[in-house]
Amino acid sequence: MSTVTPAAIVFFGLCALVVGCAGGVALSRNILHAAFLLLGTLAGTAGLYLFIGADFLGVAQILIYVGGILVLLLFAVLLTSKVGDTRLSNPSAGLQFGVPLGVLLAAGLVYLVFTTPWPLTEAVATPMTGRPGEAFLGEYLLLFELASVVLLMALVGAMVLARRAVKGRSPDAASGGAAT
Amino acid sequence: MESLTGDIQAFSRSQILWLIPLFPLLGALINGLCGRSVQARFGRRAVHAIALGAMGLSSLLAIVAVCKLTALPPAARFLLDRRWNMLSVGALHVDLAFALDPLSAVMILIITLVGTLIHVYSTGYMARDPAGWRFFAYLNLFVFSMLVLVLGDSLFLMFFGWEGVGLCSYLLIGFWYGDLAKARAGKKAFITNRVGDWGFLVGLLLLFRGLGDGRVPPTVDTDIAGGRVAVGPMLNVRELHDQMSLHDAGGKHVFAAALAGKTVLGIPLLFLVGLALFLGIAGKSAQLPLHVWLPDAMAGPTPVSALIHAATMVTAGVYLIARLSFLFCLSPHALTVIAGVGLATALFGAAIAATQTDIKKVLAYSTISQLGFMFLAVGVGAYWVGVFHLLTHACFKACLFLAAGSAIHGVEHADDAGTIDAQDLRNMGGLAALMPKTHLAYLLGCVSIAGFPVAAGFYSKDEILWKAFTQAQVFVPGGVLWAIALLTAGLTAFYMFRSYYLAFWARAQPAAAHIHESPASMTTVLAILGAAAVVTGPLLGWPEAWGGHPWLERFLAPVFADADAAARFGAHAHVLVFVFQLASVVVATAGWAAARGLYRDLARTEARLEGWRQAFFRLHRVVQGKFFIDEAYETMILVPMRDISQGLAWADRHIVDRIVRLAARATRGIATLDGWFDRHIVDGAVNAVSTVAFAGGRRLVRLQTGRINNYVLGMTIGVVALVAVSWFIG
Amino acid sequence: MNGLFTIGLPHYLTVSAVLFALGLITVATRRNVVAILMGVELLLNAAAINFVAFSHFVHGAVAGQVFALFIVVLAASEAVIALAIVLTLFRNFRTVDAAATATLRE
Repeated sequence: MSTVTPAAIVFFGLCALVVGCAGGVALSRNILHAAFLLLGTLAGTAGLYLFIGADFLGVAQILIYVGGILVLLLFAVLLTSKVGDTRLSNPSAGLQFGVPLGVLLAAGLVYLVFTTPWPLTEAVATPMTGRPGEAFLGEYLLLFELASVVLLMALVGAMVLARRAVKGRSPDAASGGAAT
Repeated sequence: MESLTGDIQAFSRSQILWLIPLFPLLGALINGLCGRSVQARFGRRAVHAIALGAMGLSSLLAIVAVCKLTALPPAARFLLDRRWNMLSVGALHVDLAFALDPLSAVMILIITLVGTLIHVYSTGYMARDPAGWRFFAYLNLFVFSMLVLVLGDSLFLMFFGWEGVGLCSYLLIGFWYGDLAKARAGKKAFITNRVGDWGFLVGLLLLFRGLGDGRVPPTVDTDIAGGRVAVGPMLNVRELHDQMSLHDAGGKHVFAAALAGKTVLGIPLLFLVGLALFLGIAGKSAQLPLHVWLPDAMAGPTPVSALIHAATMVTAGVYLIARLSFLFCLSPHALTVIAGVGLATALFGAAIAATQTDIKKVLAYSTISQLGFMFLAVGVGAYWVGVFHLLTHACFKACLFLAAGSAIHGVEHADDAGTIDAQDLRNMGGLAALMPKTHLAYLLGCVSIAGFPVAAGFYSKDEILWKAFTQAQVFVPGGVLWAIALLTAGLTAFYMFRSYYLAFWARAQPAAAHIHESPASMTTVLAILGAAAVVTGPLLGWPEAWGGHPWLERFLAPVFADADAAARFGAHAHVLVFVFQLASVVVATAGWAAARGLYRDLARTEARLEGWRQAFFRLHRVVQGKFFIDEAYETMILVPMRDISQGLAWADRHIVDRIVRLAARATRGIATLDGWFDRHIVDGAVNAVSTVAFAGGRRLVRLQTGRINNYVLGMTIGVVALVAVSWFIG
Repeated sequence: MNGLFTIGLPHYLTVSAVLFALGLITVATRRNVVAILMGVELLLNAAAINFVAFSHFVHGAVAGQVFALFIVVLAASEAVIALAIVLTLFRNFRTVDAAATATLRE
């Protein structure tokens, strides 16, 4: 048995953060709480990335996920839910099946993790931003460009969807406004 | 196997050869697919620009390629442009590859340059035809096929081009397909060529089979710098040539001897190959007995007759023999057949040409006759002379055809009612003053073909006569060959000047007021070709006896090195050459004088001609009836075929149909039974199954809740089950 | 090497497995569409952790990070589209309950 190192403490702390917050997302009855707990999970994941030396990925995770996606989700929550009624904003159904199944799945996966002979290599955690950059502009250039096209399409698609909704709403704009 | 050596063809790579046929193909595609709308929207000039542009680019590239070729040392004059592998089946490997050597260089220059001139001429000749776009598409397609034929590196590619030119010939002969006779002429050309192509294919397969005996490895080591040389069955002409030239230290050509030693049913294989290939060649080049299509092919527009049926396609057979000279020289028997058939065709064609009244038919039989001369040349082993005559013939015959076309054009447009046959010599006459340029061009062509020493035809034809006399390879005495050829030459001069005098003098033209010279696009081309018909002879083939050394012979020497080594020519006194040349000139002059005396002024000689026609009634009828070969085919092949097929049709109706009807009745009876079974037993079972499925479906439909959660739960259960299974098994 | 406190591939894979299971529970049991989306984000993150961990410990190269970044990009596009759909859904049904909006069933 090896001894407890500071690194191990940090890692297990991050694990606790990720898993604990994710449990909250899965089970909290208040959707606002769930959204804020998701922040913890995402930030913890970013920490895990940093821990392994993927610093660019970690920072990108915080910037895009926390700064962008989470804010979008919060928008969705605030625009659609009866926020005033926080206790009932996030109902669940079938927890009696879902939770045991989830536990079973996790147990099975962990079993596989520990019984599979992974072909490990000697890993060195050297933080490096250059290598992903080179990969993006070298080997994965086409995918990189395609990703930008996908983002553009998402942008345009979201606008199209929202515009159509606005048009459809125009006759009863007043009542719609009152409901939100 | 002991060390081998041989005369291996050195070659250089080229990247431009494939572009030479590409441009005509593009032109054909553009004009063929969207020519109608191009012509409707942008006018004829756009169609002409596309076709002429393609030809111009192709000619330019051909000239560049030939310049690159001549820059190489003579023995290494071979450009190879390999694109990609097309086909690999067993021992057969076919590349899309183009090759240029001195022989194909001569050919592509003829094709692209004469082709371009004829395209220019066609812009004038076809100016009023509504389907001009189609004409130019076919014409470009023809040039493409012809270029593939001569540039193709392997016999496979050459066969592709060979079939391609046949197709274009068919399309162009039947260009005015509204006229049933013209459509029939196209069909006749196509079917006659099929007979020949069958021979070609059989020849190729025999050759391919003869080359392989299953024991030879695909390559052998040699002492040559290149090292390994491919041997065994192959269709690549260059590799075939290399294989044939391999010999051991004792000078024994191992592979050539093995091939020459093979027999089929006791007959030498190479003789059969030569005969089969010559059947194909006879079909394409209109030699006896497959010449029947060429006179009918004159139904096509005149530029087509000039390009395809005089200058290029019909000479493909000569090209093929020249290209495979290293094989043909191994079989003197096959060469004897070729020379014999060539000579017979020459005499035969000339005799018929002297009696025809349709100017294009005269020229068609003249072409057949001249092709016979070429085959005589290659048959006696004088390959370069055959190619030389091919070249000069391309110039003067194209000139003659186009001049005839110009005259026809003039007569046709003077006759608005369309009541007279514009091609008939009896409706021409007296055109010399009305169409001076056309007249001059036709005269130049006649002088050239008749063999007066001032023009090209003399140099090539006289060389053929000389080679025929001195040859010691073919199993016929040279003197006999020479005598018949000389007689034919005299006939040639007679019938050509006969057509000349009948068309341009003879009588006063009744429609003189309406006939005028053709447009500049046509007369310019006539001028160029007329000049070519004069200068190409002395320029390329200044006779040895006159202190020259024919340039063309030196240029082509590397191609025919092996075949020339096999050819045998006897040694004769130098003075004999001059005697023979004198004889040729005398004979030609006699032919001209006879034609002039008889046809210069018909009013004076009509009665005498008619008298002779009566006196030699039978002979005249036979010759004018083209020796009734068409009729013989009709009675010997077509009629029996029709009878047999009618007999078969009767058998079909009365015997086969009755059996079929009986079978049908039995089937119906069985089907009735079957139908009952179907309705009551099979349908019942099917309905039962569907009822069960329907009821089950109604119960199962509740699983479809439409709620994502339930679906995800289901998926999770599946995944967990999989993990559990792997747990227990794994 | 195999100690509990020497952080290696199994540690990462375990975290990712648990995260994945929780994400799946979220997707499987939540009725609010927005919460289901959050569950999807958890699943994506679990997969991304796996990519990075495998790439680091097995492959020794940067490919896994690249994939994780693509996942982030796709998650962003997905969130944008999903938000637009959720808004449209809400306008049409006045609710974002997945069970109540299952009108395609019939």
